Amino acid sequence: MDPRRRDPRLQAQARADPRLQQNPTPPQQAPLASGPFPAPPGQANTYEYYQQATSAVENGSAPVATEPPVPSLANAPIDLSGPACEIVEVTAPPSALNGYKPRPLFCVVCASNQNRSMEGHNVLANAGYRVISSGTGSAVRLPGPSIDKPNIYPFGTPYNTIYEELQSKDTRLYSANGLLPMLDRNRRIKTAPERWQETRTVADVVITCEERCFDAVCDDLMNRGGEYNKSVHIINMEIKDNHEEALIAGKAMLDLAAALEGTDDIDETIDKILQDQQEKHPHNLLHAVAYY
Amino acid sequence: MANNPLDPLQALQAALTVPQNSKEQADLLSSLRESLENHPSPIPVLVDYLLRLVVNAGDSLLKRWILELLQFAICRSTLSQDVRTQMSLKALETLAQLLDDPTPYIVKTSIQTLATVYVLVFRYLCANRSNPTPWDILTTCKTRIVEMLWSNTTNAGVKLAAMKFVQRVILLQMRGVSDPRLQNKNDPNISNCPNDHPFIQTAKLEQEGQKLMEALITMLYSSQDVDLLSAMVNSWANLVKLRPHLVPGMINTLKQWTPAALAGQPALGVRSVEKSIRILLVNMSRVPANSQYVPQINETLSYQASRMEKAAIEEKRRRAGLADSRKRPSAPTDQTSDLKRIKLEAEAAPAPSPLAQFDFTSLPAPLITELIVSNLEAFSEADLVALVQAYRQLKGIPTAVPAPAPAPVAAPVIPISATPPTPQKAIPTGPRKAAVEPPTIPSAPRPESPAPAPLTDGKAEPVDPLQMDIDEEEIEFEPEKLNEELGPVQEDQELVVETDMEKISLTLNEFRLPAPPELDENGRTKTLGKALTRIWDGADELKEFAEVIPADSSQAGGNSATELWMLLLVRMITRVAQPPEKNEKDKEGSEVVLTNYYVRQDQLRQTLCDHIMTDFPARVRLATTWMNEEWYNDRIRLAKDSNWRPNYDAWLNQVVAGYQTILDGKDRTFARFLLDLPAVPSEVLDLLRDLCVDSSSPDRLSVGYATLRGLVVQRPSMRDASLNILLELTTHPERRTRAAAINTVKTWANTPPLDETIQNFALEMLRKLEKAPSLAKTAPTKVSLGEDHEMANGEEGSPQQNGEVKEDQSADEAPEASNEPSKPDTTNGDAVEHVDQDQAPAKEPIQTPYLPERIELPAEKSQVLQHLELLFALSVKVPGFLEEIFKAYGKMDISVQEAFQTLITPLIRSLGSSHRQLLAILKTCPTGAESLALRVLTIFTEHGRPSAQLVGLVKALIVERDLDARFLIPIIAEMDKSDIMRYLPRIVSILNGQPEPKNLVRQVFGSVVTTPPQTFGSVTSNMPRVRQSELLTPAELMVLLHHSEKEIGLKSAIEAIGICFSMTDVFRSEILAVVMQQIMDEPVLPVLFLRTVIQAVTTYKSLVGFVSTTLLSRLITKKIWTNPPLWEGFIRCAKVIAPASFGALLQLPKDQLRELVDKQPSLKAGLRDHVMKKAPNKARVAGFLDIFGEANVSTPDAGQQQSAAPASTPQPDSSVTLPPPIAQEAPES
Repeated sequence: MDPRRRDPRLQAQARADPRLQQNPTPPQQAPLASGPFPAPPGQANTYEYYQQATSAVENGSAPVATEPPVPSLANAPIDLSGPACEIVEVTAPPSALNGYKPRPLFCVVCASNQNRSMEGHNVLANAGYRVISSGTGSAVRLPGPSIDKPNIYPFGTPYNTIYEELQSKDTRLYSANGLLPMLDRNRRIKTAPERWQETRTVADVVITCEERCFDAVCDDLMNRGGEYNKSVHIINMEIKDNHEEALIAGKAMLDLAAALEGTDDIDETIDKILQDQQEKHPHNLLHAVAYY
Repeated sequence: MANNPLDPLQALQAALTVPQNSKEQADLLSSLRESLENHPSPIPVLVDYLLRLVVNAGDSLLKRWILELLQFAICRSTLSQDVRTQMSLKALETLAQLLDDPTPYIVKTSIQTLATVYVLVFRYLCANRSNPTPWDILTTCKTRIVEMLWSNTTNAGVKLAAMKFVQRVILLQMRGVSDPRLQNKNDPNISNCPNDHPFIQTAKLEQEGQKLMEALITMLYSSQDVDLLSAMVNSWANLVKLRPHLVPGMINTLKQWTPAALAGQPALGVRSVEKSIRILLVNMSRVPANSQYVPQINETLSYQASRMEKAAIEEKRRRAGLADSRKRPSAPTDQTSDLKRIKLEAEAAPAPSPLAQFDFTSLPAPLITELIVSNLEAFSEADLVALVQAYRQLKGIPTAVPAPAPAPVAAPVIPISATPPTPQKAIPTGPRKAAVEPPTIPSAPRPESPAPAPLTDGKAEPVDPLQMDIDEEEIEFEPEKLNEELGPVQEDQELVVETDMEKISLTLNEFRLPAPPELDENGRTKTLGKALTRIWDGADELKEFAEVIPADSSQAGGNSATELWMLLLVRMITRVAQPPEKNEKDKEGSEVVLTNYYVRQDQLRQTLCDHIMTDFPARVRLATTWMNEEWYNDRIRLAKDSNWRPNYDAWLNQVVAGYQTILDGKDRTFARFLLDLPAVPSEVLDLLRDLCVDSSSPDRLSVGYATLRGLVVQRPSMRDASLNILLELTTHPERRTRAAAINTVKTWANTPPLDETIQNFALEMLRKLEKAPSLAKTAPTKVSLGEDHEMANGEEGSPQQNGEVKEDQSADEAPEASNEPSKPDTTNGDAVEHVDQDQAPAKEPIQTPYLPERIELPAEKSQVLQHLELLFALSVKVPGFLEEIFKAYGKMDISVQEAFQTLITPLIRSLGSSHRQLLAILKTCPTGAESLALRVLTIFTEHGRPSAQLVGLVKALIVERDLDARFLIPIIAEMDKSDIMRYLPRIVSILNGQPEPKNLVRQVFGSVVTTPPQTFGSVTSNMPRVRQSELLTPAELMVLLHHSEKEIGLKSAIEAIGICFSMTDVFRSEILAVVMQQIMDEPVLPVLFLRTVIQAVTTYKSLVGFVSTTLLSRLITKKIWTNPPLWEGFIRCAKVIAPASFGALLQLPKDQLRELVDKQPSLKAGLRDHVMKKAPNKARVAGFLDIFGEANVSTPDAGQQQSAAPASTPQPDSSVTLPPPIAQEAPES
């Protein structure tokens, strides 16, 4: 297989930029909640499913559309009265923006873009937030049959490929340790794990799941040189790398995202938000402002 | 989608037609943006058009979109630089206007865009000098944005953008890499701008950049805005990467940073800033160019790590505390460390402000003053009064007087601002200051404190609180003044201390304290004792809260709040009590009073001293504080009163002497203590010297050295004296003492400014070993000088005294020596006195108490070692010394040289045989030092093979100068065959009958000769013979010896051959046979040949057959008789192997046979018998008999001879029977 075909960057172009997810799109396909994946998918029609999964992402819709839409936008009145081709003088408070509110793009980052970041990606996307995710490791590492035999894949290997490979290796083991369900979830969200260092999308808020990743993100941004001058908030939530912790942290992340999206000015209020978050949730937080 | 770019105009049109700010518009715009990101070429046109829409328009989706697109195009897109620059120029004005936009987001984006615009336009303007307008706009923008960064009211996001902008401005306005090859095209900076530019003034810009950078660093230390700090640190990565010259400064800045200014911020924020700094440091350490700073960075990182860990633990505790307080809802939130909690409690009402926990003492005083003033200014006068009233009511203070109480005003910001440094000071000032001073906060009015004095009158004018602050500070910093003022009441001093705090704290305008009750002497002492005890006890309580400062911390005592009690205690003893004024009228009376005063104070000091001595290691900080205070006190007292009896030296000695007895080497407190002393008197230095030579305990020794080392390193004023002691100790006769001293000094061998003194000293010691040119003349003078000689002979009567004398002397000399290390010292008066001007340059040698004036000859090895050990130790680090060593060596006495040769072994060994300097010196080896060079050579070859370099060098040397053959010996084995053949004769020629050279030659033979194939057993040689083929076979050696007999000299050659014979395992009989055979084939026979043959046959009887049958006959055919010496040898040989030789002898021509028997008549009989027995031919027999017949006359003689000959043959040592060839050869050689 041509390795380039597994490169998420190439696929990313085919996919819609998550920034386009300005509003939760009504589900255009069959409700994905039930999922196109009658898990585990049979060998024969996997490709098709895979295609569907991709297209689901391409259309920018949240995979689970039955989630309640984001409150702040659902009820926002849309100003239809304004003249179409010129900009009106507005005296309204800047935040109101005539019903339009820019929404931050979140990027959830962990080491392998599998467990923690994908859980975060999952819950945030389900809740209708604009979100992408990536990993900072040098490769995707998943537990193997023993501690010294991990399964290692390069970033860009589709979740589906990994899923099938592990399934063929030892279905029982990988179902029992939660890998297959996790990969199954992941392949419904996006095609393949992406590497942070190679992601070019500019996020507004980066949520890392581990101090190591926080360091890597900051370090990478330093290395990029900050040509864009655009500030970005990097928030670290210390999460242990297991399914349970990821699940718990996902809820915390949801709270955080809600608070960040709920505010009119993230820069002004982020300290307060983080302070509240810290008091409410057990995860240790870190915060940095860096520049793209 | 990506491959089919939207038609931008169409798409834009579509976006504009849908309802504004609608979701559809957003979708359309973002897909257009995405398309443009991939295909940016239409952006310039589009932006050009759209920008017009933006100006003066309100906030809208479209406006933001346009700006973002502009930002993208200018900052990030793949458009060419020219296009981006043109866009920048066009957009510049609009962006400048947008800085005033009410929407923070717009301003933010504009600033972000301008950050790149600034760079692009700058570069453009550098080359285009005609139009200054854009530059003016840019400069205006810059000023505005920088203002925004400093302003307090700016939106946080805008500030973040401004921070980035400032970073890029700094980057641009700082000179980049000067090397044009390394310059980055994308990194324009003021170096690119010509100096004669009409409107861009580089110097000014550079200055501005510098200032901005400084301002940022100040901000790093002082700002409370964690986000901004984090942003700043993150933006710096670029700065240090592109401006490498900033790196050291930056590391320093980050190293010194502590979260002090962030005190009171949530732990999350503090930790985040720490983390950002950490990441930046790590990032810097990864840059390859910064590798030299990595150790420094790592040190900073590890220091920071421990700090963060501490903070994390504290935060954990706080969280736990928080959980508790949730259960007890009324409890005040105790935010930070225990230390701060104390203050909060004193404050009675917990201040809810987040700044409440901020430790304002960490800020500079002027800043605090400014803060207070600006805070006060925020209130109108009426408000202020009202607030004061309210506060007083709250605290239960009578409200009648509108006296200013700064506390309530400052409370929200700095509830405890003015207090921390002063409380203790305030106490003694109380009674006198009360009338003028408003209530000070330090007194921390306790709620239950009554207000005894009604403050009703309006006289108490509101004092400017600022004024008050200043007053207090003045007091704080001029304790002397304070004490002077206190002078008159000093009698009541003790009582003053006793006075109730509450009373003092109140504003007592009219109040006068009743006269304190007079106490008698006993009472005073008692009261005083109580006070001291209380302070001690109080200190113990404090300790529980305090961060515990380790006893050996470098910080002197009394620095931290918890240690203030030390100062208090110490000053009570020193400065508080004033010596009584001299009463002129009643002299005697005042004398008594004075004596009493001293006695009393001394008692106090004794108490303190005893206290310290009971547990010195734990109380070292108190001791340090005390001694510093005494010293200072002495100085200020002496300035005023020349009769003042200094305490410092006396008590220091007391402490030191007391501690000396219980000294335990394990703790470093004593060293610490001495290092912290303001002055170290010579007695203490002497004590240290004693410790160093105290061989009874290694612990004491190490304390001595550690302290001296510390003094040298940390106390420049003490440096010379301490270093001198150390240097002198390097010549101590005790090996261990000396070694310790040398190890101490050695570390500074290359550390200026110490190195010079040390090196000079070492060289001086070396010089001392040289033969004194005028020994006879100087000696008498020296003897009169005295005791040095005696001492050096082992009695160390009083090293201290001498030490002092010598110290001065050497201290005088050291600098001079360093000025002109190699020139003759004519400036020194002493030297001139002793040294005749005509004589070779000689310096007055530095003396040490451990060495004699002049080394006594013949020198003892141990004493030479005393002189040299330091030098040798240094030579490893200072290769230049080697040359000095060689130079000096030549001037030394032979006995010294011998010792020298032995002693230098370890040094040479450690330098190794490929040490460049050493090889260079060997090459240019000064005359007189050849024996040392040879020694060096030998050392190298003693254990192992010499390096190729060395071999080459020596070979060259030998060619160059006519060097002693001994030089060859160590390396001969490494040469190739032809060289061996060439040089071997020279080596052999050293043989002179002495056993020593004989052994050497034997070794050489052993190493150059291959062992013949072992035919018996497994006798192996230990010599490493790697290049067998390059070596000589035994036969070749033997042949060589014979060939070179003239070159070698016959005597030596004989000895050499003898050596060969003694190497019986190598030169076995068959080898000898080969040798004889070979030589015999030569056209010209060596003189020694037959001698060797005789030796061979006497040694190995088995060779007799070969010699008698083959060799002799061959010789006869070669007409051996034509060469008289050989002929003589032949005859002797024939005799030795008779009768086996008879057969061959008969082959001789008649004349020769006759000559033979004439010379050796003893052979006659045997020969006749032989002829008779064989008798093959009557005629011949008759002929022979004719020859031998004559011998019949002397038959008895012959019989005698015959019997003698067989008797001599079996003797293994044939030398007895061998002829002395030298007698025969004398005419020939």
